[in-house]
Amino acid sequence: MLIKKIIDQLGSAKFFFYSCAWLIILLVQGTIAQKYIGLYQAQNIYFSSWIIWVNDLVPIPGGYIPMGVIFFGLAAKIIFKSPLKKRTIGIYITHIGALMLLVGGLLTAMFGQEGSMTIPEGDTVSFYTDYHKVELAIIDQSNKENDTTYAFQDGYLEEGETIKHEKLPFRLEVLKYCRNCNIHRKTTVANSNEKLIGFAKRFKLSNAILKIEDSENRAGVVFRLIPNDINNKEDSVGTYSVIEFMPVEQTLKFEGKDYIIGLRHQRNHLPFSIKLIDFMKENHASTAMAKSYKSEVILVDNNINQRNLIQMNDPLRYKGYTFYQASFMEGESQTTVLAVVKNVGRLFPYISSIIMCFGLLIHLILASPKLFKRES
Amino acid sequence: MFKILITIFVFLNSFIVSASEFSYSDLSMIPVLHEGRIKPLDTFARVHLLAIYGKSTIKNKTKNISANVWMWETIFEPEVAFDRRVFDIRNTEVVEALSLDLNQSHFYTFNEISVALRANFESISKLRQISRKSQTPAQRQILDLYMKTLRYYEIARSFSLVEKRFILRSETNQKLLGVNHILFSYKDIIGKLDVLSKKVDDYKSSNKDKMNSDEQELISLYDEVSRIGMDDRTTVFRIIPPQFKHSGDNWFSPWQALNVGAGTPKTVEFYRLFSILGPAYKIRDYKLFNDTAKSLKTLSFEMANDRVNETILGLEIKYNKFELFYSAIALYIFSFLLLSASFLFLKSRMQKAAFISLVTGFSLHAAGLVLRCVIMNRPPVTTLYESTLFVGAIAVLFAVILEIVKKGGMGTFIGSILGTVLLFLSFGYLTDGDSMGMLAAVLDTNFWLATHVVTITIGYGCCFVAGILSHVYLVQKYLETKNGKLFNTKELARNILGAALVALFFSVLGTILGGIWADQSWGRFWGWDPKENGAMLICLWLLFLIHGKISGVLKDTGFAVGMVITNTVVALAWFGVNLLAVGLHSYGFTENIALNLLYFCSSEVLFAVIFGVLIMINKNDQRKKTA
Repeated sequence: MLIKKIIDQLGSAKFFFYSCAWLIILLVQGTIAQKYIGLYQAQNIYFSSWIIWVNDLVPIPGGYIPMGVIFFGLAAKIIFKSPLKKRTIGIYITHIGALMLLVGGLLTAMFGQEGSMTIPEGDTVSFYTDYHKVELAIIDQSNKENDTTYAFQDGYLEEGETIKHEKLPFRLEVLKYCRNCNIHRKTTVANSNEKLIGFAKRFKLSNAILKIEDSENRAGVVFRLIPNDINNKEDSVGTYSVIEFMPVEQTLKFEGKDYIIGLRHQRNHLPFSIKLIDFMKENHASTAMAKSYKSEVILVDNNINQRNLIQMNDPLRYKGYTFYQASFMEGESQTTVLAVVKNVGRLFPYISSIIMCFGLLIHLILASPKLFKRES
Repeated sequence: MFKILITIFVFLNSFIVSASEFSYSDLSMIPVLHEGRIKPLDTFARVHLLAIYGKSTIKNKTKNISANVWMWETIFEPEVAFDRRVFDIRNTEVVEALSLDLNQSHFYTFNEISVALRANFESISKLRQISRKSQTPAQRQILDLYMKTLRYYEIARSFSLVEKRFILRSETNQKLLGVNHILFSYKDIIGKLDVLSKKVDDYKSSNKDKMNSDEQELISLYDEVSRIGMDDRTTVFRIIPPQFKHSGDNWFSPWQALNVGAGTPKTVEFYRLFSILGPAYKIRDYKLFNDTAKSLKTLSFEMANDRVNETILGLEIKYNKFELFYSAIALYIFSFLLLSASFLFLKSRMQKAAFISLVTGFSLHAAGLVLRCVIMNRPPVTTLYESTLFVGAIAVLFAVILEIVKKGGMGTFIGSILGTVLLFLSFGYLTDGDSMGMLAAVLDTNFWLATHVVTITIGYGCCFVAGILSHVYLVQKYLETKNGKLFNTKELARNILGAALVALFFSVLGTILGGIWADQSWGRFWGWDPKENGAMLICLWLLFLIHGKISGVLKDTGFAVGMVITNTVVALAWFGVNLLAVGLHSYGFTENIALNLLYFCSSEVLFAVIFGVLIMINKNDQRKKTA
């Protein structure tokens, strides 16, 4: 029977041997690559991928494949190929623990979210910023009380894409997007059909190599503003350029409303807010080395105002989110930087490690007479 | 046996103090705040001598000079100290760049170096502008030398304010400044400094053609005083504990305390005692020096109140003195020699002696670790240096257990080799400064430190034991394939599998604990960080080999070859990832590592491959013969 043969092979030690070999090779390659292209890129290419293109020609399995294959092999082994004998009970438990670890990893990879939250002393913030993904934000400032933000995430930022929304009287056609861009001052006023407005008039964007530290990359986008009503000939119709960390915001007036268009890291909103009351840093005596730092915050959730202390190795957990004291910024006022994580698979490593080590320990105890005794 | 001898020796030594020479035992106990930690002056002196000279005792033809002697000589008799050849410069490029006269011993005096540095001041300032990454090794060494020299000079000048060095012969001048003696110190006239400066201003603005002798004397005093006054920048010698609540945790150097106004009657007494020490030293009044030193020690402990624990300071001094790790490595080497000799004659007795030597070495090694733990109040695995010590201890411990269970000398063999190699490795990290440093915030949690780091380093130790066992297996198997059955290689192969499983247990547990620590601190269990990848690599490699053996793809020999390579994997995971210098784990970088790592890894791989191939060839030959 073919199925039985496949399961037999899948759950065999030999199969794991070869998949493990592949994983080892990827691990070594990816780790060395980190020195040259940084952690984020190396992870995307080697570990969190299905296919790696060598020299853009030859496809080889990326991290997900050996890990997935090991996952199924382990499952097959546990379900079909593990007779319960006293001799192998320890190994059986260990394998179950290992499977749980992989399940946890899968859940984290699929559903996990993380980002950072920067709060100056005295301010209240209700969103966290993604570490890597970029979004285009169109902010409608016509209402004096509230701004309305239309945020368009990663997938929209590609040449040829159109950014539109039913509530917006115009759409944006993306002409160019670079994750990291070089900015050149235009020396001549180009004679083109395009009507260039603002930043686009004086500066040109070109693609730059990605930096080792992803946070040093500066994204840029060039787009054309097209009114939904073709007859609309407003001044603000034209071609714009926007980059991350713009010195001057690109604003425009359309049909009497004020809009800001900006490029920034994706913001994820929280169902509550956090206010920083005080950030405290303590150095080791007479040195500049930080001994400990902590943030005194208030969790604001509707009517609940809860005081909390976030410090190293002591995070705040609320509604599935966890807030860690990650870093800080000095300046006129102290600013705390928190790491925010939402992870369904959080508990799996804890449970699986206990199970795995328990299993290994049992196996060692049962097998050590055979392994270590002296032959008479 | 050795421990007893050492104790007797130290005990007898303590009687040879008294009035025939200076006693530094009291002074060396005085607590000082340095690099964020309160330590005895003994450590302070050793750390600085280590940084400059490379060892904590100066070797001399007549008599070795301890760090304490050197430091106090620097303070009380700088003319002599500045002419000692203690600055270690081995790179001739540096010697040439600074126009120093090349010295065969590669040691230079402070005087030589300060002249050279001053002459090259401009180019050195330019060097400081370049980022450390783009500096050449010679440039880095020049800057390091510059900083070390500055630091040394700072120590020399730290007590200049109590040094009785100024002379006023004119009685008018003496009255003006309120001094009763001809010879006085900066501190003696600190209340009258403004009087002095105003008087000198008056003289200078009066535009007289010629000053009389009194006025000249005052002017030259003013110049000298101003020059000494610049020593108030010395902050390294933080020997005065905070006396007021508002001073926080900062300790002050003698000059600082004066400027900041952190004085109390006790600090006044402190300065007074110090001002006696110097002259006593110069005229070699041993009794006065030793008695004053004793009072100083008592006084500093009073001033420090409950900020210091006298017992722990005492322990640290003992730890410094006994140099347990040097003794341990000596015993490990001795054990190896005895074991080698046991193959020549008196087999069982030599083996026993070798084992005893190993165990004694281990107890000193472990004692050193325990002392470190007690002194610093945290598990002894926080820096690369400490992890080397710890892995060494674990490896020897497992080897001892192996010897007790299996007998036959194998355990002693492994223990003596691993103990020697790993301790030797640790010595390379000692010149990085105080080996008992403070930790950055994220590392400073005792629980995870104790669990994750300890478990992983135990895993490393087990891997090394299994690795060395595999070396032995390969050699034995090779000899067997040539000469027929000589050893019990089947049993050894089983032992190796057992050791691999133990190593797997600790490595997996340690890696996961690391992930949990990261989850607790940074919010993510796994980030594909180089150090994390390294730990995972060890686990995967062991799993790879074990499953290869279980499935039959790898036979005993193949498994042993793989286990030898495990040494390489562990070395890379332990030291190599720091060379990549990216990610959250980048701490503990030392410059020589890359080359040594390359040598080690290549030699291990070569050994494994060569023996593996030889065994395979021999086996094929045998098969052909029997066929």
